[in-house]
Amino acid sequence: LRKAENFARWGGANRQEKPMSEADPVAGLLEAAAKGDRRAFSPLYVATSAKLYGVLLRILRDREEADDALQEVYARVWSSAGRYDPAKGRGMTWLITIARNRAIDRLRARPPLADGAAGTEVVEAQASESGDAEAILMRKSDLGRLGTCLDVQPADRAAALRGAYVMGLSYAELAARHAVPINTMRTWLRRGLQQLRECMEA
Amino acid sequence: MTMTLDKMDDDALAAEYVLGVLDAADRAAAEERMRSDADFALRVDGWQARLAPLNEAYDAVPPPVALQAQIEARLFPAQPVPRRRSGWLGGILAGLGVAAVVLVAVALWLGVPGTDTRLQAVLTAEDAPVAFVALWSETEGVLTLRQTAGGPAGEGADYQLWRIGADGVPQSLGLVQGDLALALPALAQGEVLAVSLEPAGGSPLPGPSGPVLLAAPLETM
Repeated sequence: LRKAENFARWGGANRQEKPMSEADPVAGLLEAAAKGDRRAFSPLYVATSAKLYGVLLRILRDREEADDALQEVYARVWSSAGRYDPAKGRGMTWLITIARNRAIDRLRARPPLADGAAGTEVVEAQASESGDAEAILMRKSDLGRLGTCLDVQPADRAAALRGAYVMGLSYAELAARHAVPINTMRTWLRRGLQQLRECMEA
Repeated sequence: MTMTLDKMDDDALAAEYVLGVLDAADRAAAEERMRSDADFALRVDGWQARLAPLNEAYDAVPPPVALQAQIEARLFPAQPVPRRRSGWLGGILAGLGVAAVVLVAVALWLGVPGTDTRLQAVLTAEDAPVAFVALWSETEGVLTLRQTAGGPAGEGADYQLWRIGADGVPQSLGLVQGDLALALPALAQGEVLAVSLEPAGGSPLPGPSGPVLLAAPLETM
């Protein structure tokens, strides 16, 4: 959010011309990309690649795969920039959605054996990273209403929701970590999501 | 807000999709729904907006420097590398005679747009001990590097300058000691310049052997 304010300030001087894209330079670059303007690519990449690479690394936990995925993400961004709608959110948020989806698709496409072969190591790495995720989220208390509504949930369910979103954990992985059947996990998380929505709309 | 049971199910599925917990088959089915069912697609948008603050949890991690050139090569495969035009320019000048030469010289002197391609890369990073600005002029065929912060690399060490083109392979441009001017006839926008810290004399490898301290793409001025 601090970044968002900086962007807003950055755009303040020329606001009269193009209010939407000036306040959100990434959105402006996406507009140019939608028109096929190659000059927009380099600044777009420089402004956004570190955050997107961070997303891919966090979910894929593998540098080589993150390298491949980053290429796929920017290919996707470039070809579908015309579908970005500034009314739905900031340019960076749209880019992160694409990166998360690509990473999660890759994760789900991994053969089950690959994860099983790594065995407990993977699970432990995930467990400790989920601790990290929480620590980071505690420090960055910029979650606003979402943070408040996560806080009123039971702590283990709030942690499961955060872990699922941030690291791309599947129902199967969450169920294994909490030692409950998948359907139980699904019912439990669905209830959490419904409460989250009601709380945020209250 | 009240919802029918069906809608509650739809909303839960949209939430699960955005949360990322579905398996491959269910994800694919949800994406198919998004394409065919506008109400469902709106629910997905709603959840994306609701959960987006969690994106704060992702720390920025700079990707490997060579990746940008690889991605650009993939996206823009036919990107022409600017070539020196001395061939046809020379021919025209010879044909037009001295008056034209004077005119073009004046045009170059005044910096009339279109007579020269000039690229710039600003090599700075918060945690780097040095900073440089690189300028390249197509007409001159020279890359100049000006050190804007920091000093020499220290005893037993050198800074080394690299160029990473569309093939993604770092190519050494030599060691950097203070300001520098290099003859470099061809350089393209989007190519990346990088500076690494190396043992004295430079990297023993074909690419950087030490940490890459700075990297920036060349932009049109």
